[in-house]
Amino acid sequence: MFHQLIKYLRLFSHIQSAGISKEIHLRANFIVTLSGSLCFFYLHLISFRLIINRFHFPGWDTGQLWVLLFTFQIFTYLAFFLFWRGLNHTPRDIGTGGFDVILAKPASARFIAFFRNGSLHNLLSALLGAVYLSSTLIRFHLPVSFFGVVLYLTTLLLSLWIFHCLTVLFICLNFRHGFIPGTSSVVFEIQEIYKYPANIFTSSNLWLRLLILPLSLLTTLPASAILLKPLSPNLILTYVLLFLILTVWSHLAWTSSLRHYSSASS
Amino acid sequence: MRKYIILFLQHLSEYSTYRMRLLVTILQGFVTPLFLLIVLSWARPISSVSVSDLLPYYLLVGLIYPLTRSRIDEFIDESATSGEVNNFLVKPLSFYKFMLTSDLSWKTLNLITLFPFILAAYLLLTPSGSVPQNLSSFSLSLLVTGISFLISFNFSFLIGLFSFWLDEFWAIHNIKHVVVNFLGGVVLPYSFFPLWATSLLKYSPFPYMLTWPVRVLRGQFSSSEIPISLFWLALIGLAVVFFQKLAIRRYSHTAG
Repeated sequence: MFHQLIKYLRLFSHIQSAGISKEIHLRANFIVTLSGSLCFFYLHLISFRLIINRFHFPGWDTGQLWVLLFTFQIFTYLAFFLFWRGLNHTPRDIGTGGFDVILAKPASARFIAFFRNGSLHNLLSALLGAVYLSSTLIRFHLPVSFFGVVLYLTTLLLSLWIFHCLTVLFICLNFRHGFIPGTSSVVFEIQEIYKYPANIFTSSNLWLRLLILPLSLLTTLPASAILLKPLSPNLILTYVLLFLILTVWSHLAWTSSLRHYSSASS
Repeated sequence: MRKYIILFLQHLSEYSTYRMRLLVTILQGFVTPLFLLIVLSWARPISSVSVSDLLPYYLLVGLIYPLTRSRIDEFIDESATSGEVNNFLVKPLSFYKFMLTSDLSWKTLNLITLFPFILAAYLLLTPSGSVPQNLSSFSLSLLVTGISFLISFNFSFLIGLFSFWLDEFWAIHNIKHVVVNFLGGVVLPYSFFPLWATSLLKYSPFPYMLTWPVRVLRGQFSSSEIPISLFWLALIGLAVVFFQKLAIRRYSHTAG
């Protein structure tokens, strides 16, 4: 198990470093792509500022809301960095038969399909989010402990895993129904949910509690962790259940899709 | 002119076969506002802006946005990278007019699909006072939809010409998308913006690109907006003529 983990971590670092060095080599392209990425970063920042000037979110003061926003930025850009290329290419590979090459490789097909080389501009935008997060903690005199930081990083990783499981479920639809446009981006399209505190939905109706609340926990939980802000046991239980259900469901969906796959050329 | 009418009809028939694409395009405009409204309905307003004000605004923006926005820059990028531009260099077809015909046919299809919904929304929102019952503002909104589309198309075309110089065009497209949608009032209505920003914005092209018909429908129209919008249309149009010449001179695609 440990050897497997080391093997995949090495593979991951090789894939990423190869991609990053290629990107750095094309400097002008890199600057243009970074500007494109930062444009969305600042759109979120400005629009969030305009919204919190007009609306109050019960249980969250201004400083805490900014921590949540920068957690959202870190989460979103890391998700783009880790998964976007895989999400874009895998449905096409399934349709064209290029997926045969992935299956032929001596590593997990799920790993090869989803963890492709990420774009450096997304990683830098996530780092910028981290810089803003630190400055917000200082500016608003929000207390931070070592335990809070560890908890933050752990829950952020868990949230990224949940996000990945969710994307796997959508990509699996391409195995069964052929190429479906939008399956790559659907989880990013609903990113407005990740930006706001989950606890505002606790008194909402059943549908919102089932569909929106669990997704907004993906950023609310890490933000609450770094702030050591207590969350209700129900919300924590929802998060744990979401993690378990999506882990098992995505595994079953993926293995069953691989059995279903018969190559585009056959 | 006749060849462009034939092209228009051909595109119309081609696009009408992609019904799923049409549906996705229309629904896409509602996704972000829908989630924003859900979130804000559980938040507490601390100013005069409330969710009940935002609901009719986003409903109308969702219905009119597919008519006014233009994504022709992406098609120009595709044509430049695939070498399709070669066709316009050897055939008696204007690249600009071809793209305009293509986009116009797509918008006509959108209009045919959305018009009943726009009319229903108008009739539904007038009793509550969100949209004043005024036939002249309804007709005026049809006129400004046309101007908005033309400004939007020309701006998008101008941005699309960057693809003749840049490989990673998506980044420029992203910048255009963010700037136009944010400053155009699609992401948030102008009631969220500080006063100084709205007073400055009214002299820029952005308020006249995407959500202008919505404001006209809601009775927020000033006659000074027409000359400002026409000025921007002319200026962007001139820039298109100038930069298209440079772009075609720069174009060197020889193989697919």
